[in-house]
Amino acid sequence: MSFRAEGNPTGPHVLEADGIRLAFGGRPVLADVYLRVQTGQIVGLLGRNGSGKSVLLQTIFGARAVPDASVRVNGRRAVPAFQVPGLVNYLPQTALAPPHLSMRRAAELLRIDPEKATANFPELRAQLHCRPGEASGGTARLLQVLFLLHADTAFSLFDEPFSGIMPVHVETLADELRRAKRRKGIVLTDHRYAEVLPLCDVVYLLHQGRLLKLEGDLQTALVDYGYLAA
Amino acid sequence: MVGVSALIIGFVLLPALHEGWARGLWPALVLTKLATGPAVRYLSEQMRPDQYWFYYNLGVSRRFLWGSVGALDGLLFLGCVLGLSANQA
Repeated sequence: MSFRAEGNPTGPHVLEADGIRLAFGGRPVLADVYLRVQTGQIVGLLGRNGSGKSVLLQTIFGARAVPDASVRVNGRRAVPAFQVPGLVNYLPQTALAPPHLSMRRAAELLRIDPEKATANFPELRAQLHCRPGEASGGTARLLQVLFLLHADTAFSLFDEPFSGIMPVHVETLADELRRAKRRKGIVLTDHRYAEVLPLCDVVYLLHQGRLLKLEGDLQTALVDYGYLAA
Repeated sequence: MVGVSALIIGFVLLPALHEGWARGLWPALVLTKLATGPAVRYLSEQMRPDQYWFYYNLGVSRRFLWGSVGALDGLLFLGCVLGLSANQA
């Protein structure tokens, strides 16, 4: 199936994942999870360490095979999602680009214009010739987030996109995310909830294997579920 | 993968060619090379578990990646073994 070829003339594209059940060593991590994101939305995924946030994103992306998991785009099955052209990309917690590739070359292989991607971060352009290990961790992370954000996919899944990025860049990156959501749907998970919450149109909390959609006073709900201290 | 090829060629094929007992040896070398494949893959997965993310973002699956690399490596190895054997003959 080619996602680009099909399109959705009636409205936004909708990515849904459900039936995701996963256990490690007999301990249930994800129990019948359902997640929905559509283009034009930023969806926040919060949860304590080890609650399964990364595993959930990897399952939606298609990198982790989970029996009975269903990932659909506009109602049609898309498993593994990463093999559907133009559908989704994923930023892992670890380095994205292979250590032997310069950042510029990595961007070119991902079919991204590195100059355009760094338009709001001109000071990063001097680092484009660096390999991931040669730039600072925060710079490499920011470049990778920008590359995937500017890639021509309908959805982006970001696992800790703010990790290691300095505050002044976090603010500009938040603006980039807001601009990007006009053309794509974004799911992000990060423990920097103070930055994440204002960005999100929908917030989910992974709690004891269940994915809860939070509504109303988010801070209070996060305290009630033990994610934030009282 | 290339390292395993170099070891097999350097420590088995070249001495065999030098000492004159390399005739008909290539099937055994290819089988040895094939037998090391699972070990190479296991070590690669253990030592660099995050190496696939970039390729996934290019739409390339783990199976396709290993298949392509394995096929290229196998052909390169076979070409080297047959080429060196033919030169000696």
